[in-house]
Formats: sequence, structure tokens, C-alpha cells
Amino acid sequence: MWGDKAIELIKELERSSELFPPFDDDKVRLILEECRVLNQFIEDAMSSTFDPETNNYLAGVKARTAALERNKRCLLAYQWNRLQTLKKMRWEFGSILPPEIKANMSETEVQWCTKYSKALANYMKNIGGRNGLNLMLDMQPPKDLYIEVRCLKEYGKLELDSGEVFNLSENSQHYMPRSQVENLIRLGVLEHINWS
Amino acid sequence: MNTEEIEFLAEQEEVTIIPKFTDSRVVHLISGDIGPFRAGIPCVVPIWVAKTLRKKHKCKIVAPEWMELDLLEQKLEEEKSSRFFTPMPSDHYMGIAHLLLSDDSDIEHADRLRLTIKNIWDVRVAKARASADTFLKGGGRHAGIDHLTQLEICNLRPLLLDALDTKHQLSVPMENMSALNTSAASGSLSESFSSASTPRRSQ
Amino acid sequence: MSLFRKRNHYFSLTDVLSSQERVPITFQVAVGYLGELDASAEGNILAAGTTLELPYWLVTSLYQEDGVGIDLPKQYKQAWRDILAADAKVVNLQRLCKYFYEFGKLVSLIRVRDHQDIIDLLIQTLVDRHRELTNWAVHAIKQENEFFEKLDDIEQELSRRATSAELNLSNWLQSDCGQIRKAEMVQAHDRLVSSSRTFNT
Repeated sequence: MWGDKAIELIKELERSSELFPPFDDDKVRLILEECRVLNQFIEDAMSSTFDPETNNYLAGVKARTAALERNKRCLLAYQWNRLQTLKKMRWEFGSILPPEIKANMSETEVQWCTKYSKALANYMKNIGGRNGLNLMLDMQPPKDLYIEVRCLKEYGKLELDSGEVFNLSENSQHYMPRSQVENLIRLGVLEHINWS
Repeated sequence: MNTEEIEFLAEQEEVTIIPKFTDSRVVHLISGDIGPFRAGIPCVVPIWVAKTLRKKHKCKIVAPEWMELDLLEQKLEEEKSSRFFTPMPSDHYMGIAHLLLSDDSDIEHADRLRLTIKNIWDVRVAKARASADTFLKGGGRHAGIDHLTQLEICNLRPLLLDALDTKHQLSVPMENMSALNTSAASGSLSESFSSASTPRRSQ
Repeated sequence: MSLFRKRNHYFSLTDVLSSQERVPITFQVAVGYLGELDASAEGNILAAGTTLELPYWLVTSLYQEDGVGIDLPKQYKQAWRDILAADAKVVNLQRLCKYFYEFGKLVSLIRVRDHQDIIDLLIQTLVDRHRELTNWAVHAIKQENEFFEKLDDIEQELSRRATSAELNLSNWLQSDCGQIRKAEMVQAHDRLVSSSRTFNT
């Protein structure tokens, strides 16, 4: 029935156990095709002669208009909710998304992400005075300027703003400025230990 | 707001410390000046400063006036016997207790203080839950939650505020009902809706 | 934003899903060009006397036509009203209608003469179940899910929120806050990736 594919698309998104399921190109195309057929009917009806007895298309047109609107709503809701997730991911993963997630994005979603990322970076550069303000820092109120961290995986060298270089090898422990390692902790490279 | 953020606000509250060092320089901050410090002479600073100095063994923290066993036990009794929420000695009583009454606290009877304060909290939260229930059942349009602190509201929000809001939203007419897929349909529906409610009003 | 509003707007998945629930609709006269709606229809004409269960969004486009009538979905009819009035706590709303409250609100908008009855039913049911919900949510951390599975969708979201507020508080009481943790999505992603790896090998 009309709208069945559209609701499948929505259910698929709602039930997915994946963080970001693949963009369902096929289903979107089928829904658009359904819209074309619905629209064709409406156009044909509009150019035919209305007759209350033999050619009463009013209910048919109303129902199909509703179906068109419904399909449109489902498509928009699908895309909108995916964009909300992408937006949130920008804040959790940073500007580089894992390849598994990137593979599930549609081409336009990739473009959208790049633009969002750019807009955000631009905004952060232009607020808070000359040096900008990194909004990704202090996602929760900070307690200390320096914190102790343990490295959970091989990361390699990390150069701090001060020029000091740390070698982040697995299981090594370091005492570092909170502001420079927060994102690595949030990405799971480092672990914050001995906090109080 | 979440618990961490409310604790952050509690850290802005002031507390008296007895410094173990002398520094005549005053630190000028946006939120106010800190110092000068003279060893052994009490002075008032925000809790976050007190905690930082304390960690470096540079001061002793003095309990706020209200953080006293007799007083709090009396408060607990008062809270138990009152139908309403009684005013708390501090808007961040729970947060401050949590910040100052750690295991190695300078404050005497930290354990018992902590327990009493937790008891007060429990009484209040239970009371809030019960009154949410009565309120929902009674069908009133507003409830007095005077003297509830931020942390309490944060904890009670889902069951108290969200539930009440859901109830409210169910009973009010929806103006821009989104479930209607078109603006045209929402027009005709709100018409039929208002035509239904008018005769009821005139009865 | 309030929970209800967050769940009910043009782009919201819950709202799209609740408006997909079905409403019984009867066509007293034959209607042209709607044959697709009825699998047993001959040609494109919907025969007089046909009764169908159509999704809410479609019903709203047709219910005001001449000769078209709608009925209440069973969960809002007298029989269920009586059951819910007797003891709302024991009813499995999830099975009866996943979006019991939100769909009920929608139905009330197109069944003008039942409007108030439906709203009263929804509110009474919510109120009657609220105490159980509170009890469950507060002590839920280690309990079985039997009760949770009987809740309607918005009730589940309410109790999830309540449980996480409770958990948040007890974590805070037990340890100092201030630890920076791995971001939630990163954590979820790592879990998924590692589970798919074990699956593949």
C-alpha cells in the first residue's frame, strides 16, 4: 500500500542497532518512484473532466495527496534524523570519523559533514578573542589543569603546545595538561586515572 | 543540567579556610578577589579554591555554620514532620556536603554528617515522589515545590516534571499537530476540533 | 524541550510511527479510484459497505468525505476502557498499542464526539500507572525487565530517563565526579566494531 516503503525506511532507522546504518538508496529510489506514480494520477485526474457519477476522483486525489505528503515527510524525517546523528558524531569523534561510519554515508551526507565541520571550525576561530575558543574542550566542568592518564593503545608521539614531546605507547602513564589530552581520552586512546 | 554541572555551581559557594601559608598578594578574578592569605587567620574563599589549596596541604577547611550535627538532626526531624519542603540551609547543601565531607576531611564527624545529610535528602526525595503521585491523581493544575534545590530537581525531573508535562500535553488541544502531514489538513482538523470544543464551553 | 514535544514534531520518528497506527474506516457508498486500498476490491472501485483498517495519516484525508465513517480503534473502546479503569497497572500497553498515549491523542482529534472520553482515558491510565512506573524506575538498576516490557513507548522513555538520573546520582555519590570518559558514541562504535570482528573470525 501507499506509504509502506516509507514507513519501512523509518522503522529500519529506528530499529537499527548500528550507530549509523547505511543510507538505503534502493528504498529511497522506490519511494520516489511511488511518488511519481501518485503524482501522475493526480495530474491525469486534474486534466480529466469531473463528473460526480462517472468520474468522481475527489477521494482518490485526496488520498493520493496525503500519500505524497506522507512519503515526503518520511523521507525528510529519515534524512533529518541521520543528520542529527552526524552532527552529534562531530562532537564525539571530532572531525575525523571512523571508516566504518564513513562507508555508510551517502555522498550528500559526506558533503554536509564537511560543511558542518568547516562552519563549526570557523565559528570557534571567531569567538572568544584573538585565539578563538575551542568548544570541544571541557565537555564537563574541569577540576584540575593537569591530569594523570594511561595510554590504552599505541598512538605514537604527541607534541604539546609547549613543544614538549610525549611518546604515547601502550600502558605508559603520563601527567599532562588536561586541555591537550581531553579529546584523546574521549576517543579512547588515553584513560583518565587517579582523578579526585 | 546534570550532576557534574550542579556540583560545579556548588564549587562557587564560599567557605572559610585557615591558610597554612602567608601571601599578601591579592588574586583578582572576574568573580571576585581572592586573598591575601595569612597563616592561621581565617579567610573566605570559593570552595574550588579551598579544595585546590587543601589538596596541596596549604589550608584547613572550616565547616560552614550549618554543617553541624545537632542542627542537621533537628532539620531532619523538621523535614520528616512537615508536609511541605522546608527551606534548606544552603541551596547546594548536598553538593557542598559531597565536596567537603570526603574521607580525609578536616571536618569532625564527617561520616555522621554525611549520613544525616543523605537522610534529609532521602526524606525530601521520597516526599517529592509521593506528592507527584498525589498531584497527578488530584488533577490540580499547579503544585508548590518551593525550597527544592537544583540537584533535587535534576534528579526528579524525569518522573516529576516530564510525567506532569506528558499529562498536560495530553489534555491540551494541539495547535500545530505535526502528525498531520500537510498544513492544509491541519487547518481542517483544527477547525473540526474547535467546532467540537465550542458547544462544550457554552454548556 | 519537554519530552512530549521532543517526541512529537514533523521530523520525529516516534510521531511518524504513531501516526502509522491503524483506524477502522467504513465506506457506506462506493468510492472510485481507491481500489488499491482493498486487496479484495474489483477494479479501482471500493465497494459500498467496505470496512478497512487504514493508517491514521491516510484516514485523516478521507474521514470527512460523504458516506465515510470511522470507528474507534479497539484499545479506546468501551471494553478496553473498562479493563483499564479496573486495573491499568496490569495491562500490557506495549502489546496493546505501542504508542497508546500519542496515538490516542491523535485519534481524539478526528473522533470529535469521543474526544473528551479518550483524553480522560489516557490521563487516567497514565496517572494509574505512574506510581508503579516510579517504583520500578527508582529500583530498576538490577531488576528484571518484565515490567518494562509492558510499558508503552513514552512510558519506557520516561523510565529510562528516570533510571539514568538515578544512576547518575548514585555514581556521583560514590565517587567524585570529574573523570573524563570516553565519549558515548565512541564507546558504542568500538563495541560494535569489536563484536563484528569476533563474528568474522
